[in-house]
Amino acid sequence: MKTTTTARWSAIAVIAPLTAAAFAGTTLWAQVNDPRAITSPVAAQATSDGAVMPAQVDTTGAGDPQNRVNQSAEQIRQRAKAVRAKAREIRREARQIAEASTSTPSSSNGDSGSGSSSSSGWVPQGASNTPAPAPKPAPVVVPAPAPAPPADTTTGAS
Amino acid sequence: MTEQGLSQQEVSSDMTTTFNAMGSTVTVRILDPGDDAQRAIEAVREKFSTIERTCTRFDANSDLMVANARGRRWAQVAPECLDVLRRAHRAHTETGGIFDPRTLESLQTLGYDRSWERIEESTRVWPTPTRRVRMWHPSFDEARSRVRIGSRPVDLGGIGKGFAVTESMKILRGHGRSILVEAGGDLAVQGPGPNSAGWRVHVENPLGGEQPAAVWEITDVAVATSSIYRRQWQIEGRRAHHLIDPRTGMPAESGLASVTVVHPDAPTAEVWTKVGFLTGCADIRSVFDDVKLPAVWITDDGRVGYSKAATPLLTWKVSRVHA
Repeated sequence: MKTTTTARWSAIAVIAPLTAAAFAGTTLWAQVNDPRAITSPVAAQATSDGAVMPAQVDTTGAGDPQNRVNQSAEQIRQRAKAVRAKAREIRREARQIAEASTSTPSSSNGDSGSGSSSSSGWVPQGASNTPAPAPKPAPVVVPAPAPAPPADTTTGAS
Repeated sequence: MTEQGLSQQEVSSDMTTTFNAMGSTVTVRILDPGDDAQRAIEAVREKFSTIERTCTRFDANSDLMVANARGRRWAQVAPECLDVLRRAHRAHTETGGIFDPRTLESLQTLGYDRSWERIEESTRVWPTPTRRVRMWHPSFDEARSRVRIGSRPVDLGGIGKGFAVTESMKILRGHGRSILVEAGGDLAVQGPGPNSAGWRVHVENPLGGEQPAAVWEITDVAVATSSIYRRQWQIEGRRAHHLIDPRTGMPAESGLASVTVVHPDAPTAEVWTKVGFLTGCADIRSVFDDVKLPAVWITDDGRVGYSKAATPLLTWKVSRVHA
């Protein structure tokens, strides 16, 4: 049945970019609109504010179903690459936020801080190729041993 | 101070006496001493004096040094000196030659040819490394108290002090409820300790820190320690010490700072501290576990190790010590 076949292909077309996103090491929520990304002819496109825009249709070579599939796979690969790059940027920014929050006293004046970075001390950073330093592990505190019982005598150098 | 020059304290039922012998301070402590305890202590002092006089390498006229000089010829020696030489030979045989008293030439070359306090006055150079020689085969004539030492001279510093401690315990037995004899770190104890079932013996931290490395709680046994951190000196910018590796004739470099062994017999404990020290860090645990001896050792970098047999006798321990 034509409708069932179409529905099956549609389902696959939706699942495919989800799989690509998972393979890219990020979740779908982390995908942001990247002007460099090639739009998949069948995938839904998520924006940074969470709104889902309808898929744009690529009419190039639209007449051949196999060609359409090949183009979809290539576009998915390109999109996955862009998503991975964006994920790295987001992780870098998250580390900076974590470091700023541990070194800066938290604000207690009820300021929600919306639109302002002064209360947390975090300054947004542009994309950078320099990886942020790894956070130092907390020092391990080893308890001192109990003092030795008093000696009746000592054995030592001879 | 007694008439014999012994420093003495008698507090209720605890008699403690100290005197100098064999380059160390000797301590004798008797709990609940009997009426003849004082006389027994004087006999102990005399025994130490006799053993030191006959077995020292710092006097060319001692029985030992005369026998060394006679080499393969018979030499008359005091019964105490003959006993120590026999014990040394037995230890040499039982340890397969690892314990070897034929280290005198190396010690003299290194400058340890006089008492420790005067070592800075000596001429000191590095000895030429030697290859392992054959086993030591002295001859003994018990009836005439004679010995033929052989071509290479021997030093009894590695066993003489323990022998003196053991002989002292024989003299003091029965003269008190509990007895301690300690001489420069080698000691023996008998009966319950003053504050607990056993005597609490601190294993000194060879790196100099105040806390001990371990605490034994023991009785009716002896304890000996070999350590290089107190008796070491510099020759041409390199560290030298008195624990000679008989396989090379050079000061042993085993990665160990000190080794302590517990054994019913003090000279045997002393022998096994030397064996442990020469064995080195990598194999010392397996050696002491194989022979089932309680032992504690500290490495040059402060790690503290124990044999399996040591665990029941240790009342306190740490895994690391610091300077």
